[in-house]
Amino acid sequence: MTHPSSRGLSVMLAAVMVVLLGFALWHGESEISAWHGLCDIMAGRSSVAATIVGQLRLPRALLAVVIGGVLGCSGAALQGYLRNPLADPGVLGVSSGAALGAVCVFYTGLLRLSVVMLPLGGLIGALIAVMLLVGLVGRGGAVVLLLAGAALSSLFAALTALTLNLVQNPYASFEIAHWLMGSLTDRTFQHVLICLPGSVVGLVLVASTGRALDALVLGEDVARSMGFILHGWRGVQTRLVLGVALAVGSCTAVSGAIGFVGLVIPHLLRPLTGYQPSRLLVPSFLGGAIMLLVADDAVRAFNWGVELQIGVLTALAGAPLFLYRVVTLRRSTL
Amino acid sequence: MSLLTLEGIRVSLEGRSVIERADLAIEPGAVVGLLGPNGAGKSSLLRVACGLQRVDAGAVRLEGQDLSTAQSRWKARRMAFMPQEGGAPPRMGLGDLVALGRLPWGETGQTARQHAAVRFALSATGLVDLADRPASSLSGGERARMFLARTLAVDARVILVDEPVAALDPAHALSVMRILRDVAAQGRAVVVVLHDLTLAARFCDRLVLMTRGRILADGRPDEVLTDERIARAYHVRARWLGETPVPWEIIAHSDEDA
Repeated sequence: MTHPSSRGLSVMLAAVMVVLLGFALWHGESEISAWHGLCDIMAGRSSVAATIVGQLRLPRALLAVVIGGVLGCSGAALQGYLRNPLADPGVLGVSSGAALGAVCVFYTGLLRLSVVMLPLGGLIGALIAVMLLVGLVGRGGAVVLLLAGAALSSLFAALTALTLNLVQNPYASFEIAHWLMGSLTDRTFQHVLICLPGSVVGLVLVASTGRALDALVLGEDVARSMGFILHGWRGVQTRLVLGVALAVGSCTAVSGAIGFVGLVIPHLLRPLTGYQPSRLLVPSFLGGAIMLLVADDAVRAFNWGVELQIGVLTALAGAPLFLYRVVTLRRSTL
Repeated sequence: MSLLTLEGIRVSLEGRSVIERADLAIEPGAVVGLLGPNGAGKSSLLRVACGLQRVDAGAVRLEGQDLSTAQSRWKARRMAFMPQEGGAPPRMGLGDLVALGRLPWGETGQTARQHAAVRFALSATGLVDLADRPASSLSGGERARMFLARTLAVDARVILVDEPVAALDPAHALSVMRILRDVAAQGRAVVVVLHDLTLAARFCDRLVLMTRGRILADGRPDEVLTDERIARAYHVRARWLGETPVPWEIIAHSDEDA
């Protein structure tokens, strides 16, 4: 079956994403006209509407698109490469590295210098994790990659727990715990600028592996016989790992850990793309963006005294979706 | 000049010698059967021929060019490889999966699906009507033909196939061997690893019999498959059905035999 529908699916998802993006700009606590705000921004006029739309809602919505997209696309690529439907961007340990970096900023009090220190710390943590991961894996294959990712992930989680343990100030440990749950609240264009370069470079690297992921459906030997270099510095694995790690690391540095998007979205979309890994990448980007835009809208809409963390919401929504897939899969294998 | 040559190949895996010495020259237009007991080094030799297995010594030349220095894309367009089937079948559509054979040429999607080589591969394997079925819903015989079609879709001059009939019923096995014959008749070189001596004797132009990492015999089927060699390589006594041997009973052997 060819899937001209996979292009159609991307167009449809893109349309939904644009509508949700518009809704995210239009909808909020303040009764302002988003349209006037946008016009004011374009014309360079300062107004309350321009400030709210341009400095609060737009960066937040853009981050939802970029971060959701990166998580969805990375999950799809990793699941394709490892031929394991349980892989998610967290398996590489890079998001744990980003979390540790950010937590160190809390711990050392660097946060007092500037709010930007937090994502910068996360980014540095992620980059160190990427270097360690690529160095550890070297020319090793998928199993080495998974083991190295698991080792780094538990090391960083342990160090994060140690830092939490050592924090004297209860307010700081509350802040850390809160940050670790993932959020897009109070993010600005500085955050967008911090997360964008790594995400774009990472996504380009991931996209460059699409054909190899298709070939890998037939196994490593066939993929190699079809001219794809899998291992080594120029290989598909290095490009994929660097790409996913850069993109996910940059995103986690800005938002904290947001789970389930990278796991659930590729699962839901895979049957609609003919089970061909390369066709899943773009729809998964768009699907991830949609999931995070919806989650962030929901976070802003529910008013329970405290704002829910978006990572909590994606996990709450993602788990039942995943359970649904488990039930349908079980039915089809009985 | 031979299309594919293997010169002085030596391979060891985890310290154990798998191929002690092998020389082979493959000409176009023929089906070459690679025979031998389990562990004789047939699959390893096939992987060496395809450039998938590092060698301790020796060289592989494709159209006269050393494979270790050849560009991977150049090599992939001239040589197609089909490994032994294993693991769960992919859930992709059959037609899409066969079209993956066009990846070495940089063709994907509709361009690949519509390519003459893909259409030929589907019709040669009798899969045209099943092109829209998910690969995971096919029977074993259909799946074997699908993987063969993917290999043919590359439109390569050299086709290396590892045990394509291992799990097939007689009708499917015959149909796969016929397809390989037809493909060789187009002027391609086909190297196929086989366990079935009857099929090997019937469908191959030339047989290479391996045992313990060495080539024991190389030549026409009637030259290679003699009672003495079958006994030496497989430790079985064969009965003859006209010109084709049928393994009949196991014969006791001591280590010095081989």
